[in-house]
Amino acid sequence: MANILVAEDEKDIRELINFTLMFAGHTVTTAANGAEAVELAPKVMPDLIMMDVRMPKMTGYEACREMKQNDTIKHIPVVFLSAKGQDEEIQTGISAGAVAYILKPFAPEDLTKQLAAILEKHGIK
Amino acid sequence: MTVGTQLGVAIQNARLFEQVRGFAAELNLRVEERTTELQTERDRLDTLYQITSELTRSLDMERVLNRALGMIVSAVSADDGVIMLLDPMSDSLLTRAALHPVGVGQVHPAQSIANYMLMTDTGDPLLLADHLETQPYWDNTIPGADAFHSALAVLLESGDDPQGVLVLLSSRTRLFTDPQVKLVNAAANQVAAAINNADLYQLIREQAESLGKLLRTEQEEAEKNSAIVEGIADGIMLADADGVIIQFNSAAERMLELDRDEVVGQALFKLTGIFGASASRWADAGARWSAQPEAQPAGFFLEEKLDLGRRIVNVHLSPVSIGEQFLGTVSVFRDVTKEVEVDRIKSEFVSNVSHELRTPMTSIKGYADLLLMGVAGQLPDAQKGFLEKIKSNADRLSHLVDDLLNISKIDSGEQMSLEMLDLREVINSIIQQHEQIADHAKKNMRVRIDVEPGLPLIPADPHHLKQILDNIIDNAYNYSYADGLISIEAKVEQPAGDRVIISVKDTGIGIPENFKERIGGRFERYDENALVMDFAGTGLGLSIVKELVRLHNGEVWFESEFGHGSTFYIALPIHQPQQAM
Repeated sequence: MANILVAEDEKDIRELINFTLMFAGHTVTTAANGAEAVELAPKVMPDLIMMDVRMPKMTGYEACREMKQNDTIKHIPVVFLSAKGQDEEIQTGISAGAVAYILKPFAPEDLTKQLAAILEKHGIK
Repeated sequence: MTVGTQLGVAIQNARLFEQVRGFAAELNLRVEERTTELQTERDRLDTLYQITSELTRSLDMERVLNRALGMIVSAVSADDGVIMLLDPMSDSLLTRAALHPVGVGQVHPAQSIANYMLMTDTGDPLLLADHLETQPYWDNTIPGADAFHSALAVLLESGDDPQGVLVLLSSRTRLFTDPQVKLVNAAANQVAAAINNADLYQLIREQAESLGKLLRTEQEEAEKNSAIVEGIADGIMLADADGVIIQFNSAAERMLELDRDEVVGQALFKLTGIFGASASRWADAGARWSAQPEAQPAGFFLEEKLDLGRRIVNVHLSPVSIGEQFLGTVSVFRDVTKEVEVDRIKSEFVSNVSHELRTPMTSIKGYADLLLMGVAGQLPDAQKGFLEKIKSNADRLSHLVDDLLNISKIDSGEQMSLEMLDLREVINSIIQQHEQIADHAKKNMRVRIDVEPGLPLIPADPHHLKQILDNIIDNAYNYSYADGLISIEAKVEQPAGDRVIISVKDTGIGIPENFKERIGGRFERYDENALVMDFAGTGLGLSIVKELVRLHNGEVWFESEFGHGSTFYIALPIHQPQQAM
C-alpha cells in the first residue's frame, strides 16, 4: 500500500478522499492548498501526490510545476483530481507534468481502482 | 468689157455680197445662239451651285428641301413642284416639301406619278411626260390635277435605294427643255445626297442622344448603388474581377481602421500583410476567386473571424457574378467584438457554475458511497435503499451539469477539429468503458459489434464522435432490461456509398408512438416507465447527439417498437465538404 499526499482545499472533499484512500489501505497526508503540498512533499516523500486544480494560495498547476523543478521530489507521480473537465484544462494539467487527470465527481470505488492502476503502472506496491 | 459682162459681174457681185451678208447674218445668229447657250449653261451651273450651297448650308431637312425646291422650280419656270420621300414606317411616299402644299388629308396632284416612279422599275430614274391627262400614271381625278399638262419626275436615290421622288409640274405642254432636264437631274442628285446626309446626321444624333442617356442612367445607377453601399452599417469592400479593390465604405474604414485611400486600387491579397495570419485565408480566397472564377463552385462563400487586436471582425466573402460572368468579390465586415465577448463571458459563467455544482455533488455522492461501502459500519437495508436514492439523484445532477456544459459549448459555436477516425477503435473503446460502469455491468448485457470489413476512416471530431456514440450507447444500456442484447453495426450506406451508417439496436423498452415526435427535444424524457426513472437521465442526451451530428453534416433517426426495443441510426458523411478556401 502506498503513501499518498493529498492537496484539496474543500475540507469535506479532503476528508472524503482521505477516507476513501484509507479504506483502500493507503497512508494519507493532507494539505489544504498547493503551497502546503509543495512544502510537505519533500518532508513526507510520498509515493504519489494527488491534487485539486483550483485551490487558494497556489493552484494545483502551479504546485505541480514547482514540484517538477525540485530534484528531490520531481520523480513522484502527480495525479490531478478536479471538477474542471474542459479539454484545455486537462491539457494544462498534463503539460504541467501530471501522469493522470481524474474528474470529480468520483465514485470512491472507481477512484480506488484508477489509483491502483496508476500505482501499478509506476511500480509502486 | 461689155455691159452684159459688167452686168453679169454686178449681178455676180450682188449675189456674192448677198451671200456674204447671208453668211454674216448666219454667223451673227450662230454667235448669238452660242452665246445664249453658254449663258443658259452658265445659268444652269449657277443655279445648281446655288441649290448645292443651299442644300449644304443646313442639316435642317424641312427648310433645306423647301428652299432647294423653290430654286429648282423657278430655274425651270415650272408651276408647281414637290419632293416626296419614302417613309420607312408606312412604306409610302409622304410629301416633305411642296411649292403649294395641299391641305391635311388631301392628295397632291403629283402623288400618282411619284408613286409610279417609285413602284415601277423603269430602269430610268427620270421621266419626262407630256399630255399628262393621257398618261396611265397620271390620275386626273385628284383635285387640281387637270391644271397640269407636263411633268418632270426624278427618282431620288441613295446608292441604289430609292429614297423618294422629285416632281415638277407645268400647265403648259412641252415645257421642259433638254438643259432644264439636265439641271433638274443634277439638282435631284444633290437633293438625294443632302437627304442622305441629313438622315445620317439624324441617326448619329439620335444614337449619341440615346448613348448619352444610357450613360447618364448608368452613372445615376452607379451613384445610387455607391450611395447605398456607403450607407450600409456593415463594412463593405468590393473587388473587381482582377482582384483590385474598387470600393470600401465608411463602415469598413471604421472597423478595419483603414483609410479608403490606402485600400482602393490595391490588390486584395495585399491586405493579408495588414491583418496578419487570420486574414490570409480570406484574402487568399478572394485572390483565388479572381484568378480562377470558373473553378469555384457556385454559391460558395468564406466566413472568417479577423482578430484585429482591439476588435474582432467577422468577414463574409462571396463572389459576385451575373450568369457565367464573374464580376468580382464582395466582402462584408461585421464587428463581432461584443458578441465574442458575450460568448466568452457566457461560457466562462457556465464553466464556473458547473465547477461550483460539482464540488458539493462530489461530497454528496462520495459520502453516500462511503456509507454504502460500509466505511462507517454496516447499514440496515432500509438505510442502504435511501442512500441509493441520494446517490442516483446526485448522479442525475452531475449528468445534467455535464450535458449543460456540452450544450453550452455547442451553442457557442465550438469549432470542430476533424480527424480521420477508425470507427472500429472508437466503438470498441466506448463499449469497454461502458462495461466498467457499475450500473451497466450489473445488467449483464450482451454486446455485439459488427463493423464492415474495409470500412473507410471517417472525418469527425474525436471528442464529438465519442459523445455521440456515448450517449446513444448509454441510452441502449439504460433503457434495457437485464440480460438484453445491444447490437452495434457500422457500414457504408448503399447504394450511394457516401455515408457511413452506425446503428445501435437494443432489446429495451422502446419508445411509445405518442412520444416519438418529442424524442431529441431538450429535456424530453419518457418518464412513465419505472426503468426510465431508475437511472439518472436528463433528457439532454439525444438533443446533444442531434446537434453534434448536424455539425458533422450527418443525420440521426430511429426506429422503435414500444416494448421490443429501439434502433438508433447515425449517418456520417465519408467526405466532409471542403470549406471554401
